[in-house]
Amino acid sequence: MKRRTLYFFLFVFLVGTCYSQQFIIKFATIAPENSTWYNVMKEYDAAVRKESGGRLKFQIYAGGVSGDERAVLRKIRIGQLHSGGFTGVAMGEIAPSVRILDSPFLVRNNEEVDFLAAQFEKDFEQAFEKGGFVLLGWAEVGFVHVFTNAPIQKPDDLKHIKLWTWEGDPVAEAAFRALGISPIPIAFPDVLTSLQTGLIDAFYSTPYATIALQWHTRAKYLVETPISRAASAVLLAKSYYDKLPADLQEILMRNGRTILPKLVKLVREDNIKSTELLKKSGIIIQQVKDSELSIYIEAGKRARKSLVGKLYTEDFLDTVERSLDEFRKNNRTSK
Amino acid sequence: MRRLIPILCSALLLQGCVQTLAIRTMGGILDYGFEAFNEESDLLLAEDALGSNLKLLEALIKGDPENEGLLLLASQGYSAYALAFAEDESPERAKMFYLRGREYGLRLLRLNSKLRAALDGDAAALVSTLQSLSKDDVPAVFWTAFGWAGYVNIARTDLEALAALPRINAMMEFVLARDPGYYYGGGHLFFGSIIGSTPAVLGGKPARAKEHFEKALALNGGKFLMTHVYYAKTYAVQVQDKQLFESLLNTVDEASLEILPEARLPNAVAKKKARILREAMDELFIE
Repeated sequence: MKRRTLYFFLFVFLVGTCYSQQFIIKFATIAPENSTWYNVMKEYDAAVRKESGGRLKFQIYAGGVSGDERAVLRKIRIGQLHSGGFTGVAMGEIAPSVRILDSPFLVRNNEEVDFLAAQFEKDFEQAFEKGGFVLLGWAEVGFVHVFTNAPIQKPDDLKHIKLWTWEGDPVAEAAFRALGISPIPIAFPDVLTSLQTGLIDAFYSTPYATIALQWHTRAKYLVETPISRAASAVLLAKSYYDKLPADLQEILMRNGRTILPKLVKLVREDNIKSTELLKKSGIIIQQVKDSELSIYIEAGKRARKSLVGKLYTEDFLDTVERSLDEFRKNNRTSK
Repeated sequence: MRRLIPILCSALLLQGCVQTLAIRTMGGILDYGFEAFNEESDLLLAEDALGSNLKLLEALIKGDPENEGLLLLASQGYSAYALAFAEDESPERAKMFYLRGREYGLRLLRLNSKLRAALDGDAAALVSTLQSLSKDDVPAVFWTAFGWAGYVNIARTDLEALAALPRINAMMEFVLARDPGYYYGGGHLFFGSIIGSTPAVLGGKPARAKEHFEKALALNGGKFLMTHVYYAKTYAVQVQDKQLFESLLNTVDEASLEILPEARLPNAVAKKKARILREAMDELFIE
């Protein structure tokens, strides 16, 4: 009798091990091996592997081998990949309304960013789901500044520079139009060459990306007031998520929400360090006078309004702006 | 007693001379020693020997800190050690050794007063100063840039290092301009790898990377197998050409170490790296 029970358990155990399916999430990122992005995703992978006893893991394709974000999106839609780190234009293709987080001159510091992400979490999650994705966690690109070769003492000075704009990005286009600038659309890979040949003499980017892309060798000034703050998210195809057993879904989501915030923190630190390095390399920070600040703020309002209907509803914009105002009132530190 | 003093003095002086002389002689021997390392096909023997000789080299440099030959050997030796015996096993150790390779190289370059200032300035200043140097300066510039780039490649989270890339590029541009054939087409191998590992969306130009690799192969007659390894690791992966990837690695696997006796060691290391690369294939190509 005892022996039979033992056999029974052994049988159940063996069947269990043989038949417990392994799930491999194919994740793509443009970030190279050994970069902050890659290291944090490796940590995420290690955590889910350990907790699931090896039933769930990430296969990380780094260094852009799967193409740019839009190519990754296409590959996810045909099932070749399952997950990716998304920003800007590609994130907007999945969930247009999420781009409100990127919208011109909306947020001014990280506290406001984190407040909006938390306050409207459900709205954003729903928007991603509607686009066929599950939010594993927010990532970070950071505050986007204009870099120039001529001094920018007032917003009007921006009208006299040859500013690059990313082809096909409605948010950047709206921001610049509201400031009365006619930027020059150029594909991303050609920016450095265009700066070298003088086709453009100004660009916008985060301090970290400016160094990583080596664009810093082609700029003399950084305008302190950011034109926007670029969001980023790690997303998983909902069709894949739905196939996972409930316990694996739980492991995946819980770890995403605890580990990916580290990425946010590290990228923010990298941006601060990068600003210091830019200063050290001779780039001058152009401060904006308080009297001029309102010009940017007003341009931001117009720009955000102009994106109503394209990316989000008027109602959503109003709600977001109102709750942000409220947050500012309650937090004196948040200017 | 009086007579003793001059004798003691000259003995002391002589001792100094003898020491320097001895170091110079040892330096010469080590030169041959490094040739012998490069000819060694057994990785374990080479690792042991190179490690202990690097320490000996450092001791000699302490006695003769501005000896150009010794500084160059130390720069080359530490970077080679990092690439061959540390990078794949322990990136943390490799970082440290690449930095030592870079530091000895920088010490050597800084002996030149014009370069001393330019090395700490921006890339543009470095480019114009490098223009005044000759082909004789290529080894020092190459190995300094090599150690520096090796470090940047594994320490991507070190922003200060990342910001130095334009200066590293400027140094390798100089190598290409003065002596493209140096170290088996090392300049071309460098640019092939750097351009080849940059995704097209971030400004990478795969066609240019391929050109550099092909030129390196032409310069070394396809006998320096590191070329194939980096061709596969960077360009073939970036354009997702699995067939090219496999054929390059097959060439490395099948090549005899006798095709280039003077580079048996780097070629044996290339074979090791090819094996590691093949094992990682699943992460490099999307099915």
